[in-house]
Amino acid sequence: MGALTADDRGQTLVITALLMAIAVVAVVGLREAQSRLIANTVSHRAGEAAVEAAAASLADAYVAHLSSLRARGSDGPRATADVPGLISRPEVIESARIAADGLARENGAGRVESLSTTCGNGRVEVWLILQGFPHHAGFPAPECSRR
Amino acid sequence: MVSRGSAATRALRGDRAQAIVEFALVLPLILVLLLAVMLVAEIGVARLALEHAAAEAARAGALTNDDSVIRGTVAAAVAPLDSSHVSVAIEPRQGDPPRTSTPRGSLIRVRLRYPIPIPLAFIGLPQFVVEGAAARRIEWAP
Repeated sequence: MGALTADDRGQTLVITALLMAIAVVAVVGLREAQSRLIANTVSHRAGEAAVEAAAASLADAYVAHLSSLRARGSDGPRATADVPGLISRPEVIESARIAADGLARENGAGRVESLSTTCGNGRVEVWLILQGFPHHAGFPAPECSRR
Repeated sequence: MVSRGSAATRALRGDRAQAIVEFALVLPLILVLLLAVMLVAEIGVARLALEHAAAEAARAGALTNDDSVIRGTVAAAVAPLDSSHVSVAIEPRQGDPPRTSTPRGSLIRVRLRYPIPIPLAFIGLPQFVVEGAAARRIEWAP
């Protein structure tokens, strides 16, 4: 401060202008960095919500499938659940995609780029890509275990 | 010699006076810019905290379908903000359909608002209100 006030004529203004320019750059840079950080966070959260919605949609289809098999089993011989077949049915995948798209949109992200399902190691897994980032979720399904 | 010395002293004192006046003129600007830097940082922190808390609260709501759990999650997750100043809006509310019957598969939305305390609010500067929102598919079943 002392140097600022004891300098030659006009130097204070130059230094002040420099300080103000640095402050303006700091404000703009900070805002830009924050915007990116928040956009990334929102995208990540939207991906989480979307993939969980897709997994829940698949879980509903899985439970409905087991219930229908159980209902049929009471009438005759017990049928085994074809979970890989179930999770690759177009209508089941479309329903999961609609759920995922809806959640992604609600959370401020775009459409889901790709969605795939797997059945293995005792679990049904859903994988999706949203704004370039992969997300996955799943639920246990004993029918997906190797025999 | 004496008169030359006095002229030099006067010139030096004049320079110092001018520098002081210039500094006094620009000091408020510098302070405003410093405040702006602090405010932008504070808004960023608040936005991140609110986005995080809204996502956690929506997730808790999706799993429990319970507004008190949602509010508790917000209070726990909104740090470092003062949770008593955060307003929580939940849509649909607990008493409204479809949350009253079989909500599984429907959406729950949590919206949070937090007014940023402005250092110079007493001179009439507008208050900044930061928002965070999240939605989840309800997984809870009765």
